[in-house]
Amino acid sequence: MKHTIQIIGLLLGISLMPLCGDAQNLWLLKYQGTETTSNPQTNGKPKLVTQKITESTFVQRCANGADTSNLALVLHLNANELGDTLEVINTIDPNAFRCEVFKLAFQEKYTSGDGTLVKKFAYMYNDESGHSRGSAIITQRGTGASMKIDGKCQFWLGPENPTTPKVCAGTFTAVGPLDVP
Amino acid sequence: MRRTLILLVVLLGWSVTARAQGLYRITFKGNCSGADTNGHVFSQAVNNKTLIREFASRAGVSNVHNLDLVFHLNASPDGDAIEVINRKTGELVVTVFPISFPEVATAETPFGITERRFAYVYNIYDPGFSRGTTIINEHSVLNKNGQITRTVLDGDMQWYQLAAPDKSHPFRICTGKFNVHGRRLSFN
Repeated sequence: MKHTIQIIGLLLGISLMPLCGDAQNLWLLKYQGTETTSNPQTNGKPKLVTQKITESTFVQRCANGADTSNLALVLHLNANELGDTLEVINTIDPNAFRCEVFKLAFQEKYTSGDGTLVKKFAYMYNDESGHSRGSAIITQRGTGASMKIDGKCQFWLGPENPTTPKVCAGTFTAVGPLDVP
Repeated sequence: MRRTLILLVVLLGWSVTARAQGLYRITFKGNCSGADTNGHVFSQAVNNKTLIREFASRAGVSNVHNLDLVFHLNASPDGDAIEVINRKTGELVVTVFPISFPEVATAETPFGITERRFAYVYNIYDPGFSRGTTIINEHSVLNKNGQITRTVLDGDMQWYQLAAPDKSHPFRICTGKFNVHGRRLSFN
């Protein structure tokens, strides 16, 4: 099996590495999506509850009650040898705060002959399990700082074998590259 | 990837009589794109006709005249499937996409059951790992005896297909939407 649980050790090690490199690898994102789960009613029967999810939701979850000033959701291109990542970072100093939301790993992609179009299918991983939790299709048009990036995600959240998983879908668009000093 | 393709054996062994209980006609519309060997990007429509033609061909069936694309609810213990069947007999021609290992959010009332589920999409011609994902909305209407009288279902899928070994089909990244309509199919 290609994506075994042994990757977790590698991924944890990679996650602890300081953030560095070309600022055009970090792209500020806007995210729009939904998260649906079952909640029990007073009669014991479950009902569906759908919550709107934005980039702010990811920031708040990562901050976990701490100050969210200067925190933003970013797409980190070529974050590691496995692929890209979705992260919440401090936009003033990315090394001061970094929370990995998803790895976008084991990508299958194609590139146009002139390099101006890259389309990727990526498996989404988070820290809840060693299995992929979903998929993302990411499209990159153009090159350099003017590149346009958008993506579409389908994933689920919750512990393994949950009674009430969260079924999630959303899209993201890069606002622009992060100008890191 | 999450699980291996042992479910293929289960799907192939499923009897026509048992399967007919959960077959629904489906409308599938989407798009695949890729880059050819010259680096030119192509885009191609995906629909019932193209899926039937491609997968029936890979299964060695050239006459697609009497074939239909269906959604098979609970095709196996692992989940659902999108299949090509003989529309007159209900006989399975080929499983296009096993849709397995769902994670389900459910709502229940005395009148029906609503589910929104995430599932992994497989491809028997690209075995080993999941090759995509789908999110499905399903609503089942219940009669006063608690029996399902009607099912409404729609899905949003994204997947990739590796290049075919005979180069008949290139590597593609695809998205598509589907919905089931009409009554559950039955065959004599």
